[in-house]
Amino acid sequence: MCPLRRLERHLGTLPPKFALPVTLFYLEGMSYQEIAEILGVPLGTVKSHLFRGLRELRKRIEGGDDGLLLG
Amino acid sequence: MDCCLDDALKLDYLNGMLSEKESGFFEEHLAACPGCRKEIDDLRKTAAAIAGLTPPSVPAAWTAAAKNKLPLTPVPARRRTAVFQYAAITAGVTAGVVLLFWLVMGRGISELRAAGPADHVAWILSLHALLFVPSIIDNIYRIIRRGGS
Repeated sequence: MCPLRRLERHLGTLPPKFALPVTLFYLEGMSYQEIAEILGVPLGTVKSHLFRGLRELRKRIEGGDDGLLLG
Repeated sequence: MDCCLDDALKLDYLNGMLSEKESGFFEEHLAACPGCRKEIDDLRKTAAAIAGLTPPSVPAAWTAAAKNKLPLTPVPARRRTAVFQYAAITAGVTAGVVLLFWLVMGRGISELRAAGPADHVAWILSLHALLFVPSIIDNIYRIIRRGGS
């Protein structure tokens, strides 16, 4: 499986509360404020979940022997 | 990994949302802290890898969940369509009523003076029918909208 497909799979296994902010921010290009409005959560929660989502994803990539993704 | 800087600050740095001065302070810290430096470096690569994905890869259920949470705001284009539709129905019904009057009562007031009581009653009933015009317009509009939605 190619690295990008593996990354998609990792993203799909994240809890939605982390995966949604990550995809909306990095893939859809939305701002923190827009994401907060869509998800109905405070701005601080968006930032916290975005950061934790990123960190979780990194852990899964490292744990899944997908080091290639991180260059 | 536990680092000494606040997560929100690290996120803002990663996403280029710190001011030049704040970034300067942040980078000074990174230069002196291998733990933070490694974490930021890893997270930057992770973020870059995510940004390299194509948007259609987002699971449809997430997109649907996000759309369901969007506030319901009136759509101006639809409202404009409704106004035009209402105006068109009003114009159509008005034209119909005028045509009806012209066909039925086309003889005019001067000839009506010479007409019999039956014609007078027909005139009065026709004038009363005008009271129903707004209701007719409204009902046609409702039927069209119900059929279109």
